[in-house]
Amino acid sequence: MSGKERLENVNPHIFAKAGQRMETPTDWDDDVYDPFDAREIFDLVRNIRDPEHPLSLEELNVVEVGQCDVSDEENYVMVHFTPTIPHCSMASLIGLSIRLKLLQALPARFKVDVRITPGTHASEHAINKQLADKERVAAALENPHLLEVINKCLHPQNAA
Amino acid sequence: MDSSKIDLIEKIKALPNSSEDGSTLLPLVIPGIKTNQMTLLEVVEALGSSLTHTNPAHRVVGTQFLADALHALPRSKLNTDEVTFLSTFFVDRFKDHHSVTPIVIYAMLGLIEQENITKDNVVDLLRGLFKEVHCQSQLMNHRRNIYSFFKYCLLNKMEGVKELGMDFVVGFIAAMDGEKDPRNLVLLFAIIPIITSCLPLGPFTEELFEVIAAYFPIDFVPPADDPFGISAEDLVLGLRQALSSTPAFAPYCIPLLQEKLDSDLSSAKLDALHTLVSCCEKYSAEDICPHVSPLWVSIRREVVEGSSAEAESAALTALTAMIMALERGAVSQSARDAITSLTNSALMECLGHLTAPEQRLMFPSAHLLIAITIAAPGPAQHITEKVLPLLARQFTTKTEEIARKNTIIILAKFMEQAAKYPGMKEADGILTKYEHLYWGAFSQGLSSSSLAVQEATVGSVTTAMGALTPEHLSQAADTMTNLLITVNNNSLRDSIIASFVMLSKIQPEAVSNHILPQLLSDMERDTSANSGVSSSQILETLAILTCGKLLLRKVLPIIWKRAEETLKVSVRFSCQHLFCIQKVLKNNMQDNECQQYVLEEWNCIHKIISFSINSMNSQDITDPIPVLTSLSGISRTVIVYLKDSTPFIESLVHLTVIDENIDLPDQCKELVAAHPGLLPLTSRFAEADNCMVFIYEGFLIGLHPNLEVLGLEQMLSKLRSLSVIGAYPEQREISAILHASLLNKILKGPYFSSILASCLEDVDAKLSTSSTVETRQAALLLLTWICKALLMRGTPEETMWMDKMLKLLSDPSIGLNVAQCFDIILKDHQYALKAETFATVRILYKQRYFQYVIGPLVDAFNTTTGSAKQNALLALSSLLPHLPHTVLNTHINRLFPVLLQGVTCEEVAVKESILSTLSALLSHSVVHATSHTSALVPDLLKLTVNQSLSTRIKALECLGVLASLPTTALLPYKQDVTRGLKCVLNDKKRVVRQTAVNTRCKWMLVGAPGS
Repeated sequence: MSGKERLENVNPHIFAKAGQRMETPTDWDDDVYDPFDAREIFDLVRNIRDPEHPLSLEELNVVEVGQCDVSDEENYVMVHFTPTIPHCSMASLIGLSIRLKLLQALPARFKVDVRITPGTHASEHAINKQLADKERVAAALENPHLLEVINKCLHPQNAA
Repeated sequence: MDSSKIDLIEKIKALPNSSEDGSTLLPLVIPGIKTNQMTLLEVVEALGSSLTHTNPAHRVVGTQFLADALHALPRSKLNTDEVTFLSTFFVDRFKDHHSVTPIVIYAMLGLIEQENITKDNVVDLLRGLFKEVHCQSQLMNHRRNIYSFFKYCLLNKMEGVKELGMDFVVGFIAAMDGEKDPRNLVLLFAIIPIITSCLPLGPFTEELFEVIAAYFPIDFVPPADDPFGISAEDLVLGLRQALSSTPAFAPYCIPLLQEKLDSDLSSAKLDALHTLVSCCEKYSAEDICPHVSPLWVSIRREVVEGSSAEAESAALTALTAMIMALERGAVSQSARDAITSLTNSALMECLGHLTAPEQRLMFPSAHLLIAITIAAPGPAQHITEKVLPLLARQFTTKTEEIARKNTIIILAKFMEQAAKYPGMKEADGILTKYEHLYWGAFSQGLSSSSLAVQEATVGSVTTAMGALTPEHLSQAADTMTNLLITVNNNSLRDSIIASFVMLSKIQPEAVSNHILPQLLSDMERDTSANSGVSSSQILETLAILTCGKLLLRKVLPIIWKRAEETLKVSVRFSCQHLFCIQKVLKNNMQDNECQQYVLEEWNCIHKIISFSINSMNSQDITDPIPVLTSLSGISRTVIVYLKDSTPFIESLVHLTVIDENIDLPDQCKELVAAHPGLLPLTSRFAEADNCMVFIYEGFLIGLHPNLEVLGLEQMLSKLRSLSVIGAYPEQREISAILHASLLNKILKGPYFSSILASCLEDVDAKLSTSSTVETRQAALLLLTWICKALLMRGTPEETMWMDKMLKLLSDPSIGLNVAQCFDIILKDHQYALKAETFATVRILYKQRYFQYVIGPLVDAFNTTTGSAKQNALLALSSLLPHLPHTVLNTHINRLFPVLLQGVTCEEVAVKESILSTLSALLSHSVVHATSHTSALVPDLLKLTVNQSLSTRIKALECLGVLASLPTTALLPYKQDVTRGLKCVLNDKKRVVRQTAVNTRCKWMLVGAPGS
């Protein structure tokens, strides 16, 4: 990308990064069950890179730990994300990246929902519908060009 | 002699037809010419027939012979006439058949090196070459000869080249145009700066530039098996040097760079920026002026976009270099205008972003302004004047944590750069003008309620230290010391300490007057209410800050006293103090004044002895070993600096071996008189519950090699027995270590052999199967350390000892311990048997050892079964982590099959050890695993479930490393792995899940688009 195409949001707000997860004494005790919690889900998605900027979703406050909900018993995960501007055209791409990451990183027992934080995007409902539609997601992930862009967002260290 | 000469000449005459080879004839002819028995002229005449033969193949032979002869002659051999004759001849030969020309070029390369060659000869040769030879039709190595010829002329025959002047430039351009070989290009790029600096380029400037610029940017990937070792880096640097060699290139070069800066290729961009930097160093302000504004736009875009950190920093350097170049030419109005307008537009575009510190563009904008500030005082003045008050006020008005944090960080960076201009710190300088404003911001930041802001401010104080006044620094020191004592946060503490270290360089008084007294008083106050945490932090800070005799005098006695006082309260607490003392001494003992103070004035050694006697005799202390270990550490640190320590050491050794009835020698008497408790302890040295050995270890381990100390033999024997019968494990280990360290240093000879013989006797007796398992284990440790000591110094007996260990591997009761002991042999001990304690260490001892044992171990693994097999495996895997990877790579094919079998081993300890070795091995040289993937992947997958926590993690890590193999090798397994890891994602432990996610994502990427 030469940058000749205009960035949609050149100067977004930047937020502080959370530190490493605090270790608990039972973390290395094999007899204790560690339940999935919001922080674990957040850790999975926070380092996804924004498609426009060399910044992570966490730094742009697109995902927050408070916006990740998880119920280990009910096998349910819900992630809300907040686009930086209400008409961001990257929103569905970001949503798709989060979805793919969770698809790869969570056990199959979880039902995963990825949604836009209510009231933060112009075409919120359309995108939510898109992201909830399994077949459309699967179809999108079969498109090699799209997958290439998403993989670069998921693994910034590999992108040259 | 004459007959032989005639014979030779005949042979030369018959050269093309005879079976005789030119290269065998040459060594016979050269000595003749060297000793003047034959002249070169005669040789040429004799060659006549072949040089003028109608068959070009014969002419080739003749010319080759002449050329080789020229290269073999001494440089002063030919006189002017001969040289003129030959050069005329060669110029004529340029016209010859195409198969002869390359040899003429080669001959000419020999001729030019003759000392008596005249300017005219050089001119003729060059003219002839330019006129008759079309360089690019020659082969690569012949072109290289031509370029080498140019280079030689430019370096040594400049007069001739100068006479040709522009003709040379034209000829050079023609010769270089179209060159493709990287080796030749490196040579050519090196020549160009000489040409541009010494010759008039005239109307050919642009042409020469075009020929060079055709290569920009370099896009060269060396072939995998490149024997010439030309790297892309060589070419890039050469080309950069050529492009920036003369200001005359500026009108063509800068637009070219500009064009590349706007390109899509990030490597071209980066190269263009780097080249711009080196061009700016050479080009004048007038050259750059017209291009300033487009360059600024490109540079700004690069920084603002921030697509890569490397490009950003290159762009900033280029900006600085550009303004520096303009500043050099600031006498002219246009350069001044250019600087002013650039500064103004930068301020206009960037200042707005500085006022929005929570947004992304704050940092790039600030970096641009800082790059300009660095470059020249004029713009620096202008920018600082605007930015400093703005940021300082902004810090006090903003409330958001991140905004304040960013503001103070950037403010400090501006101050740091401004402080580098002395004018700004003077009474009427800008820094002085806003002194109170920015100090207000800093002091507010330090007392902020937000930890993040506090930490950022501490870091900023460190950055801006050069700009702060001494009074403010002292205030900052006070506040930060307070923070250090009261706030319990690791990263804040680290940054405060870093700041203190910096402060001690800039203003040492602030440390001694403001920081140390507070810390010391806090340390003393905090007696019984020891939370432990804060006191150890304070001690750590003290250890880092205490530097130089003045501070040492202040701090050392106080901490020592505290260590003695706290001994009765808490051993751990006392140890913390002693550990701090060891650190302080380590940092300071190199200094002569400090040495003198510690050893003489403060009398460190006696203090150590009496402290240890107290701790051993005291009734209140149940376990004095930690204290003794700490004291031993201190002894190790100081004893090295004691001048002539032998009498002291001897009396120490003496005290352990004497009979109480015998009179003591004088030096011992002094020692005993000073410490009445000493003798009762030392005389019972070898008793099971006597801990004197710790103190002895401290003093004796640093002895110099080839020592001769009276009573050493008895001492060693006592250590041996102590290492087996000792009541505490630490005591047994220390005895074995000290024993080994001493053994390592005894002069080889009958004395040494007799000691070794008694070692063998003792060890064998203790190891015999009739002893208890505990005794055998202790004796094994002793044996291991003896092996290590011998192996490191290298003795004929070492193999016998090593075999002894190998044999014990199959022992049913202690075999597993033996395998674990292999780790001790190769692992570097913290201090024992190392160069710092003056051990005799021969080079490559690890390699030798590995070479010796790998055969027997692999054999043992292959031939035995059951526990012996496992022990061999464990021994191998304990060795591997300590070997250099180059050694491992040579044995890897032998090791891999063994390790692969080890992965499936039942014994948990063995399996885990193998897995960690395997993951280390793989991460260094994953390629070797290619042929074993088919076995390795399923085995590792199995280990990711139903195993112990660390096994699961290790197996996942190994799988993760494997994912970096070439895609083709991995694709067959991708499905298996991603499916197999799916259930690990649901592991009950979070740490395992995290590793599984990383590994699985890596495998998902295999062969996927965008990887």
